[in-house]
Amino acid sequence: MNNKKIIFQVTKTYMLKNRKRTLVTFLGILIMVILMTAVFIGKDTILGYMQNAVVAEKGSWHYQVYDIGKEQAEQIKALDFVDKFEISKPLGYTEFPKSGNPEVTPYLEVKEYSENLFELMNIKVKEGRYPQKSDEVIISETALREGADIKLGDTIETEFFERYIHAFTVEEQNELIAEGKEAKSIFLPLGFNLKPGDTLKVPDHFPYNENNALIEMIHKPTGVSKTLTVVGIMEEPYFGFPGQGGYIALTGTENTINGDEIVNAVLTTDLRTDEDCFEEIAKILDSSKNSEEREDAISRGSKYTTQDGEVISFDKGSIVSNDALLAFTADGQNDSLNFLVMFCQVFFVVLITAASLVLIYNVFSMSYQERCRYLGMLSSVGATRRQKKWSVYYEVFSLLVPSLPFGIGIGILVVKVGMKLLYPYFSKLFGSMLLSIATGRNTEVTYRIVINPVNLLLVVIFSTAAVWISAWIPAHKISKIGPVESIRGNENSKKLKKKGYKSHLGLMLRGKAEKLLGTASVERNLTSTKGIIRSITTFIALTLITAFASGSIGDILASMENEVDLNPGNVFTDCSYMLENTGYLDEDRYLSCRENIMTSDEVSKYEEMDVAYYYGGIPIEYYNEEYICTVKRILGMWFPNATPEQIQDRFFVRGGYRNVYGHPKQAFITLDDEDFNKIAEKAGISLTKYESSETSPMLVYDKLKITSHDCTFFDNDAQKPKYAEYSLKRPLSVNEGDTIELELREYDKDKEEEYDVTVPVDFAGYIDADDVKEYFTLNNNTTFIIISKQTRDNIILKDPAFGKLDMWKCIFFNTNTEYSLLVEELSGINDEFGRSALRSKDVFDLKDFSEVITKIVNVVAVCFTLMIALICLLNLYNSVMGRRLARHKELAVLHSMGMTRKQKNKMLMTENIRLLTRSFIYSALIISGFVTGLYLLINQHYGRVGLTLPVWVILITLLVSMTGLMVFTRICYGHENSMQIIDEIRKESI
Amino acid sequence: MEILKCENVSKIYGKGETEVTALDKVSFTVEKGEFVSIIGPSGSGKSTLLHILGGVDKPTEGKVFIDGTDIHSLSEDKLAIFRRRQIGLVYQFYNLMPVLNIDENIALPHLLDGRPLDKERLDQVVEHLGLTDRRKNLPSQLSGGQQQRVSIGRALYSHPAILLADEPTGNLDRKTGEEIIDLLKESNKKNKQTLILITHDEALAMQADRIISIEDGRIDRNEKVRNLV
Repeated sequence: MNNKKIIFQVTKTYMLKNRKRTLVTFLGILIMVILMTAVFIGKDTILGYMQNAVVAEKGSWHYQVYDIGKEQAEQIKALDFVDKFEISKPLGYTEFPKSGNPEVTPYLEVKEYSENLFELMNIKVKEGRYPQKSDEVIISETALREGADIKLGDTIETEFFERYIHAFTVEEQNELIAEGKEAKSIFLPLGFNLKPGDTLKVPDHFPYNENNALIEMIHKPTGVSKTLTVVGIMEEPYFGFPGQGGYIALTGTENTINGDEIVNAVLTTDLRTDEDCFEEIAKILDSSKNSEEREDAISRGSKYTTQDGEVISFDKGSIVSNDALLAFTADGQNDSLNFLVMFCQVFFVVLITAASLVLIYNVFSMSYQERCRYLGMLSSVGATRRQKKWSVYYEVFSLLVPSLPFGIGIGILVVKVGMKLLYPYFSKLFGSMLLSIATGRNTEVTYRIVINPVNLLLVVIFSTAAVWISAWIPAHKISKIGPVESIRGNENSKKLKKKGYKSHLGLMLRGKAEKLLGTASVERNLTSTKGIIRSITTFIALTLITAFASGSIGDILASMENEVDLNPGNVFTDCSYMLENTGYLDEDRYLSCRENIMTSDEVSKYEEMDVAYYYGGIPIEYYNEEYICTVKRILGMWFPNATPEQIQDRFFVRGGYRNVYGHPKQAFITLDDEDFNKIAEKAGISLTKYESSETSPMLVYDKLKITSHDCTFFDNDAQKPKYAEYSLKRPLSVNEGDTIELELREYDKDKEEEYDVTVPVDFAGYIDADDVKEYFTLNNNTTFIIISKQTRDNIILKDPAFGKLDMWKCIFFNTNTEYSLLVEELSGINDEFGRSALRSKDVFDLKDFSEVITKIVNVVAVCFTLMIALICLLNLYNSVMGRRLARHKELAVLHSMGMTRKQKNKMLMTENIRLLTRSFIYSALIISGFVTGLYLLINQHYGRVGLTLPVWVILITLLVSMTGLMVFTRICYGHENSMQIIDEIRKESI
Repeated sequence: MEILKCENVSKIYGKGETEVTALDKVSFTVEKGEFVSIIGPSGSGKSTLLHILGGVDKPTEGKVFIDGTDIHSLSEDKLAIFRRRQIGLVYQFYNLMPVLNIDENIALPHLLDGRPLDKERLDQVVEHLGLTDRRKNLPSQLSGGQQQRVSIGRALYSHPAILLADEPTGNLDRKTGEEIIDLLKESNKKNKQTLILITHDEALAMQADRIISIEDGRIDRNEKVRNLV
């Protein structure tokens, strides 16, 4: 038997003798491997699931490039990273006499799709088959649902035309009005600017409008006409839009482009490419322009700055990327999602490694003295440093070897079980997201466990590295032990203070032996004390860091992605129905329906809320210095070459440039007087003094976020900065009770000009998220002002236009019968786009995409936090047990000297309180450091972001750490038979 | 006056084939202020007897009376209180509290009784033991002789009625051992404390008033030293 084998044999014997400790170490390593596996396999599985969800919603395409010719298409197709290249050719509109809803959708909007494009765009045929030729067509099921008289095999005669809209000039309008034509405003899609005199081609899915005194719809024939045979009925594609003028219809085509054809290209790319696909495609589009066209486009702000700083002309919307899908493959244009995916993976691996590292390190640290004895003895018979070091490595690696296959196997099982448990939840989240109001689709998203051999290799590598790092320090320490000092048992005496330790005279004079023992034990028994403190600190720090980081990621995502300003709270969402007017339902009709709801016997409860948006209602003069400085900083980012004076003159002029910054965006939420009073009461604001006041009170939400992307400037000297956001608290400079002169803009019809009306209201105070949580959750991207109906009426008295500003009026209600005549009647009320004004709970509870991601991140973070907490608690148990084992003799001596059980418990309590206090202090320091680091990192990326303190998680973590220590102490110290303690005194040597 | 009475004390370890009788119906008495040596070969049962006399181990059979109290009939807590008030234990391997300094170790049994520190008495004891310049040190920073002195100081500090010493010099060199025995004897004479000393050393045993010899768990002889001389 060679020397190394002897060392290993002795180590093996030691491991078998100390079964409990060996088992704890094995469990720690096993859980680490399980978690590593869960991170790598789970990440791919969840990302795969999310990709499936996006594919199920929008299809598997990566980029769509609009309006390109043959030459550009060939250039794009020839790019190295382009994988699939398919084309769609817009044929335009054709009359659809068989439409069941000719007042809203009288046309077919037809596109030709190359064969594989149907799959890329996630077009699903419900009946019949996909078109294979250009004279075969599939039609959206929406047409059938709305009563179109069409079936498979029918033929449709088509004559295609393009639709143009002409806006009459003021003179033309006056003439037409004089002729008796009605002036009727129409809805224009976001970003579609139409000025009097303009004639513009309408974008896809533009609604149908009848000609009136303001606009004229022009049909320009394309010269294409054909007979189409209906071969299939498809689900409404994701890009369908409620109220569009034509039902979507798709025909087949060859994947080729004729010389003068203008087509849309749809492509997928090789995700492994290092190239910026978006930029490369943009360059091709730019190169097709001549220098004049290019300069003109750039001067209009149609530009894109490449990574090298090159400015190229680029028409917004000409390239569209499937951001969500690309983000889940960590290759999207959306930095926040890329950041999130990478961050989560690195974060969890580091976290697991840290937890395992502390556990393994602690196991060796706690048993250091015992090991010193046998290793010292081996040393005395000739064991070298290297051999002693190997005894430690032998121990951990002999535990790692069986842990790897078991851990990977269990890890995969954990992911499987986890996905099975989480699937209904994910499915509900995605399901509610995919239940598109527009299309009525509700797609089932499936998942599969993705086991990539590379990931398994990474698990092995990371686990081995974690174990090696954890064992390195103890191995190094143990190798240094000499035979004499280890056998004498005073290897720790070098750490002790030479001058000795001052007596705890105060405790001694008061006869507090238990406190004396407890205090001295924590202060002077450094090895075992450090082990426990390390365990508790690791537990608290890792748990809170996970909670804090996932919370911050969620906050950033929510703040960057969330387009919803206001989410109704329980008061509203407890209701089963909501009747809403987002501005596209006739006001009188809404009011009469509202009246019906309020007076109906079938209604058991109703709650109303109106939201009006306004720019600069509270003039900027009432905002505090912090707000103004922040605004100036953002404007400085937009206009890097402008001086502060120029910015002041340009944006802070009364009645001047109306934008989010100089005239802050505000949302006035009107609630019933009773609800308003309840919120004020919850915020501790007394409204009695306003009862006799001539002016009415208002409440202001105390948080406000300003971002560099709140508003876009198209000025020539404007440069869109990187995203930055700044969170402010209590943004106004007024005090409670002060009167604010609201500056509301009125329109003088006679003079045909706008003018400001000032309306005084009293600022009653700030409210926070907690005060209003029953009513709504507010996204702090706007100044939210809560007013009562009374206040609103008072404002309207002075400014009637204010009453017409409500962008969102809604009344939530419950019925007291299962079948309600009222609900049936209201179901038939549609707005201008044919959308039902009545929503059921399933629909108004819909989640937006970022909310889904944030929730999933939270669910995954909670699962991981729990598992990491398990490692940490195992570690804590091991440390407490290690300390107890090391103190057997000490406790026996105390018992022999007459210490009672009660006194022992008191001593242990003193120790635990001291251990917890120290651990809390260390944790606070570590967490503060982490939070500061995270804060700086986030602020470097996103500007000044407010980070939320997870108060409940902190409290629960502290409570669990306290309870854990107390319970483990009880388990480890509580079961001894005091009379057997004498055996310990007898054991004078090992 | 009788302070300790041991009545038919037996101690049996294990069961069946592994059964070992460590003490077999041992009976004897000790007078107050007496110095008794218990001698015997290894495994004869002398340490077991000492632990039973000190109330840290229970006899399988028999009774131990200290000052008229049957100590093993007391509840666990009452026995613990009795121990800290009436008995001072000195072990061969000192058994000091590693986390307490010299002062704290010496005062510990007194403090465990809930009584405040008598600083003057502590100073006296420390000075008497010759440990004045080491009183802040932890046990691991002392030599074996110094640790044993602390152990004796701990046993003496609270004036227990009986001092039980289990081979207190077994781990020390001769000179230091003699110093330790002198300290114990001095306390025995000066404070009229009963001293029961376990030792292998016949010469040391001869310094006692009486010697009890144990062999195979039974008292072999129990005689006054002067009779032996």
